[in-house]
Amino acid sequence: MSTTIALSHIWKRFGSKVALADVSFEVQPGEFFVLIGPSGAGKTTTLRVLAGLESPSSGVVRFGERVMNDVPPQARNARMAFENYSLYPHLSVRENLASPLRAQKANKREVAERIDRIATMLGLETLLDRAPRELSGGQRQRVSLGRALIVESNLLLLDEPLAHLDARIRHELRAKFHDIKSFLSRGAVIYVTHDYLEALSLADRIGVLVAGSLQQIGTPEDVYYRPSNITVARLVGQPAINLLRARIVTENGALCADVGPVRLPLSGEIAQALEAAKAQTVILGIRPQFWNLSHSRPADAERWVEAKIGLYEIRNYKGVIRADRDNSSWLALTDTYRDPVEGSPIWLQPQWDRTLLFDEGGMRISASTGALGRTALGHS
Amino acid sequence: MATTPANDSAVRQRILATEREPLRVRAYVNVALGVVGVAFLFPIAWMVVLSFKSQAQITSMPPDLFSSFTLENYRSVLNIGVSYSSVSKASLMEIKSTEFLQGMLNTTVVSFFSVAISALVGIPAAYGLSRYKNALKDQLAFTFLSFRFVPQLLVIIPLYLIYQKIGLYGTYFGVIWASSLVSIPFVVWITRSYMDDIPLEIEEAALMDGHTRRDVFFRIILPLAKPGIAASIIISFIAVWNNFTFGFVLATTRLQPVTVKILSFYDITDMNYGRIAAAMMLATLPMILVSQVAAKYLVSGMSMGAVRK
Repeated sequence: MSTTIALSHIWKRFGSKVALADVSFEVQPGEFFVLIGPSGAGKTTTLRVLAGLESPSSGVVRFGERVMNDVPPQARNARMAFENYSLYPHLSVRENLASPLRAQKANKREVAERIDRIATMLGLETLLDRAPRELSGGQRQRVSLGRALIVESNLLLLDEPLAHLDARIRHELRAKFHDIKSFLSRGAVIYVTHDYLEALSLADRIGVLVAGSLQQIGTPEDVYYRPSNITVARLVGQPAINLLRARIVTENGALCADVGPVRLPLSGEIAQALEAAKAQTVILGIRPQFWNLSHSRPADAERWVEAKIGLYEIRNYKGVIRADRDNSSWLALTDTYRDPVEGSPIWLQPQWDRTLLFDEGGMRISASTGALGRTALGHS
Repeated sequence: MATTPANDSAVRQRILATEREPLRVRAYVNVALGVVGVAFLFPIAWMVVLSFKSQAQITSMPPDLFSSFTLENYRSVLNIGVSYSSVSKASLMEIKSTEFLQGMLNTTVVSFFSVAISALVGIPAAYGLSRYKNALKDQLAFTFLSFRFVPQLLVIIPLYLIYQKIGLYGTYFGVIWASSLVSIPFVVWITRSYMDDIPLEIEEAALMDGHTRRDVFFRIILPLAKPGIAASIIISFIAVWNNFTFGFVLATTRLQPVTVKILSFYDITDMNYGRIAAAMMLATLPMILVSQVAAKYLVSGMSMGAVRK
């Protein structure tokens, strides 16, 4: 039961449309791998290729040593929880859960035992004799999950399980997933979502899929703090990361970043990285929570960018300031115990140790070594 | 929306008008429906009444419809408890009655087997046509439907000649086989349409659960397509029961269906309308029963609430 799931150079075309371009990754048994990306990125297609519901146009799917390309879905010992639940409308919840067991011709006692266990784990005990149409969205979701979990498998595929649920239920179920993680000891789990918060909280490793190709594979930390390119940096983080184009110039012997309205002197690691990379133009990536903010003119104002508060709103219990200067706007997160007044001035300074550097092509420049992050999958 | 005193009464008038209007329209519609209903039901009602009337009552002017009712027509058709004026007439009527009952048997056999074969063949065909779609398959499906468009009289001559050649003339199998030309299109088209409505994802879920394709067909597809299958079986049963052409041309006297046998009651010598009506009633009764019993399958609501739409 401990088989490594591997995709090698998978391409999938639908007519002239390329859905998956050279996708390769491995998932170890017991690992919780999250595939994240915007809608249309190819995440569901990837799951379907793994499940056997689609054949790749080229490339190899392996479970352990065995090549699975020609193996039909019912023979793969993989289970899937569909985004739209896909429950059997003419069967009760009990029979829906029992379906994988019936396929294996399990005896009555085992069926009853397993249904009991799963129902308790997912809180479905009182619903066992209902029909799917009598259930709420969250309940259907749990039945769909239960059906996928009731039998051990090599591979568990979860397609956006929390996508269509309202926020409160999503929170509750997300917590349940942590319980489920300990329940699944042996198979590999591949979880698909477009919500980066789910990914960061649940994943052992994350794969970022955009427009059919993998941008980065890494731990949640890797993906958040060391994104391999701008696309990944933008995807993971809310509000989205601020991107400033900067020319690197030397002024008074010191390296400065010319961001248009102002020149910011650089020092420390970031200056070293830029020197080593000999970059002329970079893109600075500053996450909204990694600004230093001042509402009054600071002493060393030349190291700050002065702007005006164009907009202040509260999103997700955090205050978001939109700071405007000439034609540029930047977003900054702030604590909400002091409501900033729109129109008043504000000074921003990047926290340089948290600032990401990208070259003009969008690839990250590693801050510690200055090496251009051109290993495509960003193993840093 | 604020109402000023000025347009208050105007608003009220408009409300009253719209309340009145639907009622009038409704009345018109109901009357029209009543007329249409009477037009459709009248022949059947006429037939029912006539079957309980003696010849004398029918042929009087005006027809004596409501005074008394008799069972003599039914007794005559079934040859139970009747007596005739002459021995020759009695034996003639006995023959007609036996023939009629033989016809009922033939029709039952042909209808049953024809529909059974159509279902056995048509339902898997419908599944194949539903799931594995391409332009060629659509052509094929339409070909099945086109069997219904072709007037039976057009094919009956070649079919007769072919049947003579291959020895199927005058066999139960021959008539059954030809009659399935009538029932297969219904089964294929109606079932395929129902199967189209079953989301493919449910089959995929069953495959992911480890079920074989055979399991998927029997445990998932068939139960969910049940209303469509039932409807198509009922409709095709009625269509085959009603069929006249194939039974008339391809069957010998021994095998003719009741649709043909009823003709024997149309006689130059003895046109007893009541008896004909009684024979028709008996011939259609099974169909009416079948459709009534099966009607509940037609209205079994299957909600697809299991798949989020």
